Amino acid sequence: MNIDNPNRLATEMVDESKGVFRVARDAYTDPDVFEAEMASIFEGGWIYVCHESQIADHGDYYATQAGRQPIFLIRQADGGIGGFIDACSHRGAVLTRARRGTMKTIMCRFHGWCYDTTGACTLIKNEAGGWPDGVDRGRFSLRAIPKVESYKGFVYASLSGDVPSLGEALGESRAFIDLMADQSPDGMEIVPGNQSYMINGNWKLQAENGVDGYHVSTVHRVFARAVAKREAMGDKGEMRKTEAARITGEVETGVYDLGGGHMLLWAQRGNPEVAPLAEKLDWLNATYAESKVDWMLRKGRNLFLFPNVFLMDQSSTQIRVIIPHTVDRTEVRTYCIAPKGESRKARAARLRKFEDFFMVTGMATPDDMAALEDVQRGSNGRLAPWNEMDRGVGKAIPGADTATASLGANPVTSNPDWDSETLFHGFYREWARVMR
Amino acid sequence: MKNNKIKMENLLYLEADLLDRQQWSDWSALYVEDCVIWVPAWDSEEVLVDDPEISVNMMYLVGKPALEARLHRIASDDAYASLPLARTMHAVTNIRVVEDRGAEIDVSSKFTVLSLEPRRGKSWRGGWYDHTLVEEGGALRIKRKKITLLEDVIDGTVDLYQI
Repeated sequence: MNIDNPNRLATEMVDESKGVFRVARDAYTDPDVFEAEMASIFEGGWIYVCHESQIADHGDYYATQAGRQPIFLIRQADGGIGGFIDACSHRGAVLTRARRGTMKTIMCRFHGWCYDTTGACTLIKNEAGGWPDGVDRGRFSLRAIPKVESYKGFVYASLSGDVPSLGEALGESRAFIDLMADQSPDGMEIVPGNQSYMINGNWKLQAENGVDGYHVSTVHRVFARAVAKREAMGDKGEMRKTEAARITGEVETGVYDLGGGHMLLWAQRGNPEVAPLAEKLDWLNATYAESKVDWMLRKGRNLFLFPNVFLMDQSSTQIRVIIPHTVDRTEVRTYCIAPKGESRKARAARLRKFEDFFMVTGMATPDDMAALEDVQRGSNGRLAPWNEMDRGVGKAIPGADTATASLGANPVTSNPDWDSETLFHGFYREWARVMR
Repeated sequence: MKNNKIKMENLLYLEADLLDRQQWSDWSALYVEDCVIWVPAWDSEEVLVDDPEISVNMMYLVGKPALEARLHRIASDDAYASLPLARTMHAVTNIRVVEDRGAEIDVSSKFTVLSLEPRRGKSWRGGWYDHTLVEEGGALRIKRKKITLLEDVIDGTVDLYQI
């Protein structure tokens, strides 16, 4: 690590000077790089926190980490969303007792100080006689997070006030966020039940894995076979039938570098008629342009929003949040997001497909995790310092292809083959830019 | 059903032993065709989901084909997370009859599983079993098994044979 400029090494870790695109494996293993990432990326810009439906009513809160700092978002009495450092102004105890809950009055369980949902200190226990001249409660307001904004129900926070608007930061990815957010006239909701898991791996490996089409035909072929076996044995799947065409490689695919580090992977769905959303086809056709309905229903999509969330919409629908703990330990929180008001049958099908593929207790995600953890272990081989990410480089075109042009989105590059790694170039260029 | 505690205990011990010995088809044969294995997910640190149909579950396997798909993956020699398979030791204790309805009997117990995974080392997991047992063809069989896994944040991966 360069003492004068601790971020210098990080910027040298993305190397395009040899005519190939490569990323230094130290980027996954160097604790100094991790500290710089926390300061520059996770505490220095927008990060995804939660979905609005998770904090629907006054006092509902959601607690997480922004980099190394504990934070929580809370629904205020006027319907706004407040964001605060999760620490009592008095002696610093964390104020939330769980990852999610409700507290109209925020009471510190240590000495009993209270705050309202605007962060104002409303009560100091035994205040009278505590200070010779009384005390100004105004100076004990909770430390507000500089920026909290929401785009179509997806709530973001930034510990730095010096950031572009959320809309600007999401840029070209917004057209693809809309494909998930606009699936119901009643809005979207998080389904009860969720799963968090810990990976022995760097957070960027999780960011790569979720939009890496190239691993699917090796790592997940066993998933396709297991599901085929279930159906051959007479499982009456119907709408629960899991889609495997994208795994066996029989369909059109593509990847986009959307700019700003955002990435998209898509594959044509083999049997979109079994998609839970298919029951809304008439409403979709009456409401949106044909190209948007086609993208919503017939193209399975994994959207990565820099730096820490996936919106996945393929056999089921998932929000996957990445929370880095240390350079080689990463928490992932997964939620099923679904259209409000969908039928019980569609909801059940969506959930069974979610459990099949997306859960770490399911039949696919464990295999992703094992592969990722093996990359983490292999990256300690210092004598072999580089990961190459150039597959499909000849197939990339600048700007939009026909498919994305129909949505009005304008990627940095488009590539008609999900075995291509050109989308990672956008991720790592943005990473290097922010770390500079 | 004749409330034969020794028979019930033996079935639960046998199930645990077959999983540890990786005798998958013998294990699966302990279940009736329309069996259910349900591992509910935690909705928060304090609340477990209660309606498996319309909630996210860690596992909700309905019918023998769903079990067989999981076993197929485990035994495939092609599932990254199961290469190599973990070595496990299931201990089942506190076996107690909750309700005897004649044709079916509900039995509750506690479990701990020591799992040695080549990639991740040792994990020690625990929780509660709730079995519903039935008599079929003169033998006691498992109709339903609810596994309440205490972990709400899973460190690593958990497969069917590790809980």
